[in-house]
Amino acid sequence: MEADNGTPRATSFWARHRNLILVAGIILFLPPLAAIVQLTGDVNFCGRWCPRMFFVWREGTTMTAFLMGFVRSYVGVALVVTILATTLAFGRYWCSHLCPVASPLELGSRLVPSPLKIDFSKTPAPSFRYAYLSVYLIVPAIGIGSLCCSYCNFAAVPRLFAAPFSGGDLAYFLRFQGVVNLGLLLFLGVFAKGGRAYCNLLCPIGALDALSNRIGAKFGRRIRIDLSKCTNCGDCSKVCPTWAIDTQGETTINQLSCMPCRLCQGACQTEAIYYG
Amino acid sequence: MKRTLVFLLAAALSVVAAWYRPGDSAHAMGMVSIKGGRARHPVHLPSGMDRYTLVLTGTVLPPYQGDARVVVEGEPALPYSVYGSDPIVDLGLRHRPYFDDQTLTGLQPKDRFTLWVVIRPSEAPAAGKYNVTFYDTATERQVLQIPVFFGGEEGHHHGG
Repeated sequence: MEADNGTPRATSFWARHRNLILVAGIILFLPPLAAIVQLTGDVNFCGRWCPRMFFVWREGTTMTAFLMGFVRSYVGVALVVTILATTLAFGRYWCSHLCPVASPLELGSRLVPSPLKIDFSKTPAPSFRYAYLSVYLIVPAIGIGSLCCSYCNFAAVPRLFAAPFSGGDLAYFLRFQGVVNLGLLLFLGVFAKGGRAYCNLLCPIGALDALSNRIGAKFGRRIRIDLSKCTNCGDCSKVCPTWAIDTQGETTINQLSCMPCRLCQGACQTEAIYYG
Repeated sequence: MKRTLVFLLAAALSVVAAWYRPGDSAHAMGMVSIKGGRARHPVHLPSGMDRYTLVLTGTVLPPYQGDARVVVEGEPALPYSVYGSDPIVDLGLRHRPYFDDQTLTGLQPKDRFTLWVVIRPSEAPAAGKYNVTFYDTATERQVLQIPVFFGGEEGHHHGG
């Protein structure tokens, strides 16, 4: 099913149908339908579905309360474990194809004219991302505050879709924190070149997933470069939404940022980029 | 060098973002029960704002079941609205309580719910103690009460 090195790109299901999969994720996971989350009696990614809070230790939390957080968010726990495990073997397909929180940002960014897009590619994403993740994990443990619910893409995006229909979801955005979240989604998502700056800089699940991607890079399947075919033209780095490809000198892919969206593969004229 | 600077700058920004708490919103938690309920996470908010948004999340403790009317009580009365967090298109896949006409309808043991309470003080600034109270509609008995303190001690709220 996957395109290996030298195999025509058109044979890759994930590459050919990526846009369709992105849209399907939105339809299935986000309001107004939110069919998948309704299977557990929920309406969004909070509560049972929360993938972000259960692993955060807060000052004064007992071990029992910490473990109860895993029970309370059991679907979110299962989701995160599945994401990380599949990433080890196959790469970040959750982030690139399935995440319904990221999909609207990337698809939305395609509607924004290029001159209005902000290019974040000069920012060393892993440095920023793991500084954010460190604070995300450490600050609640020492009791200074919390980033968890206050700046949550998994809360803001579903509510953005529900806000036209629901007073409660609209109320989320009619307060300081809601305005900040909306601003971040627009600034780092819709108006970012590639639409993935939020994913690349501020998503804690993305940060954990990127670690899993890096750890599994030796034995798992990843987007790779055949340097014997690479002409160092830079076409791949221009289309990379997570600015993971460095063409200064020998072309390299940073597996701490790469996700198998395959946009680089489509841009490569010499078929030097492959998944394998 | 650039990576180190970006790391430090991002960490500093993140700490400030985590530390800062806006005064216009808070998250309270509670448990609905036939014994009057229990608030796990009462709310402290600063006085003087023209709009507050409270997120109330709760669980229903067995054996309570029924419908619960939700009101914001205190003197002087404050204008408020309560909104539910219901599916836009209900596929009917699982039981869930609904919020309609200020009432959580069809609560069953172990149900969870989320409500949004928007308070807009129109005349004097909100001050003192108020309560968000849930009354069982069949018996008019209180099944949950969440205190909301305006002014005074701050720092026990979070943005939710």
